[in-house]
Amino acid sequence: MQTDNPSIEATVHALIAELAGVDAASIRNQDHLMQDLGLDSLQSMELLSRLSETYGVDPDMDEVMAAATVDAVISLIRDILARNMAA
Amino acid sequence: MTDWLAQAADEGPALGRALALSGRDHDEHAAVQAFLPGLHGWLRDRLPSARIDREAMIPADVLSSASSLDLFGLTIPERFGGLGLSMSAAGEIIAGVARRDRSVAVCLGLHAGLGLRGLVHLAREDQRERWLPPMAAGEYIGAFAATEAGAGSHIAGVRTTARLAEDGMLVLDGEKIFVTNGGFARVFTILARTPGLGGHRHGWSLLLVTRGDPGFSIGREENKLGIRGSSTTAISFQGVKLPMDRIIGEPSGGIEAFREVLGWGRSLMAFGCVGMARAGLEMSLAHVTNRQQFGRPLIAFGQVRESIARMRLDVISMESLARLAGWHSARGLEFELLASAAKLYNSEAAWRTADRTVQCHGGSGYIEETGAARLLRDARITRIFEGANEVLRFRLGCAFLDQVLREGLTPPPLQSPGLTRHFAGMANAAADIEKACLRLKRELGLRLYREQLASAALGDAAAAWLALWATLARIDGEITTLPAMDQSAWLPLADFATRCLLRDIQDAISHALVADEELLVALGETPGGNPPGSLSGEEQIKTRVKPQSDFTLG
Repeated sequence: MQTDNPSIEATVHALIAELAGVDAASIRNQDHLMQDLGLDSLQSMELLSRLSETYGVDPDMDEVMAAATVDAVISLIRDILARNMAA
Repeated sequence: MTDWLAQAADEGPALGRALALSGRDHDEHAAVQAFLPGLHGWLRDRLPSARIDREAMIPADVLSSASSLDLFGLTIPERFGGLGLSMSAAGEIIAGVARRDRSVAVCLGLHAGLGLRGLVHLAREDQRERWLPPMAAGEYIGAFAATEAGAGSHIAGVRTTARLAEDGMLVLDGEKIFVTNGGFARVFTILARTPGLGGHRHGWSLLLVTRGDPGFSIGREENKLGIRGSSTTAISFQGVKLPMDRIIGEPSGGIEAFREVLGWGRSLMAFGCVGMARAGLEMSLAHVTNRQQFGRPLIAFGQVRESIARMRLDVISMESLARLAGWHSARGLEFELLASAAKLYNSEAAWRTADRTVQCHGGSGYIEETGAARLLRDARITRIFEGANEVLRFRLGCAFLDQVLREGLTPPPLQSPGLTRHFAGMANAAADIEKACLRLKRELGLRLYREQLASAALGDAAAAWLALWATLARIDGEITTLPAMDQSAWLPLADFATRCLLRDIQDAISHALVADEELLVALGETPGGNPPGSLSGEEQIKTRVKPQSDFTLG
């Protein structure tokens, strides 16, 4: 399980690059998962599924569905980790 | 309750009556019924099916005579020279063609669905005025190209790219494979990356490319197992320059547009599968009533009778499920999930029916001249193209799980008193599916979206449940529109449908609940046999599943 927050962005970019078949260096945080990167809803769920395994978190389904951009995915993982730390 | 179920519940008995029709309403049903005798005459007199298969090409005179029957204008609005038929009505005609010849049905169905849906539904009026009239007349045949060497069901893997040049033109480069109608189509709708268009850095768009565009070339015909007369080629683009008005729909709106187009393509393919199954049923019935063994016709034997009964059920359930997708489409409701379920269920049933057809014919079924072997070869592709069934199963399972967890699964009521037990069986199965979804969510959580087995099995349960609902709703509609003396013929079918499909649902739920990807990984590393101490599949089911939806007759 990873807990190093600064690496979250790099991990998210790497996983998206793998799922979308694009170069990780070309991904920007404001990219929309579907319209910019071609990830449909199911691939977005797979992305969150793999991130939740990597970081040992269990995001709420509604939170997952609402994460439509790269930035939103990174924030979601960061927020859950912060909540877990505070708990 | 899911949106499409809620809508169906609102419609009440009207849905069942609609599913009994080959069209969106009585007028269109009547128009289709008036069209069919001419179609059947053309199929009988002008379609040399065995020759088409043997020579692996559709003769030019078949395509031109199809034009004179308006078979290229099925889904094109009347103001552009087409027949303006709904999905269900066009599907009924495609099914009629597939009953006789699958190569021609694939050519026409591809043109009517994937080839035209983007232009009919998403294009601007000037684009429609330019392209639809010659396509309705069969002068321009349509094709659709999304698949690439590195991108089948994985659309994000598409590499064909159109870049905006300084002169305002798009410059297209790339290659597509397995393009149906590729050898003779004139108008191609393709999916390409369009970086920068519409404000999206990595967008995708649907583009219209024509055979005459400089830099566009067509590869050789593929040598296929079945549907041998249909044309399948690669196509490539080397610096093809396209004006901006060749974009269909919104720039970089290709992913959403692709879903709509694919929904139509899959639905029409599901109707084509109905035609295949009907051909198998008719061939089998003719054989088993004439062929004598042990002094009796084959149909007198229980196993043969059961096989014929399942084929008959398959034809009705496939047709009902495809019509259910058509009913939702005609009302502008979300239908992609139903289209996926219909493609999955109908292609599996078409394959099963073709296999039963060969079996019913015994040794002669294995001989090409009877036509059973050709049916089997033709049916095989339906489980692969327009979304491999493995992908569809997984995606349908995930989508169904989401909807069931969010909104529950409550079947719309049936009207006929004679269907009370059947409705109870369907409702119990819905409850079992809900419980399975809750348990899978609790045990696997988001792993459901990356491990495939449980979700895929849930997809099978979803498809079988939807088929049961469509079949019972359709029987309900048939019964409520028939005089009392004619109603009784449908009740045995309702009994058999409920018994068979509830068993299919329970099998799928059991599979979902015992799905164990780690076990399969271990098996992959074990040199033969089961790992020591592992339970058999049957033992696992006994220990983990207790179904509620037992259905008994009488």
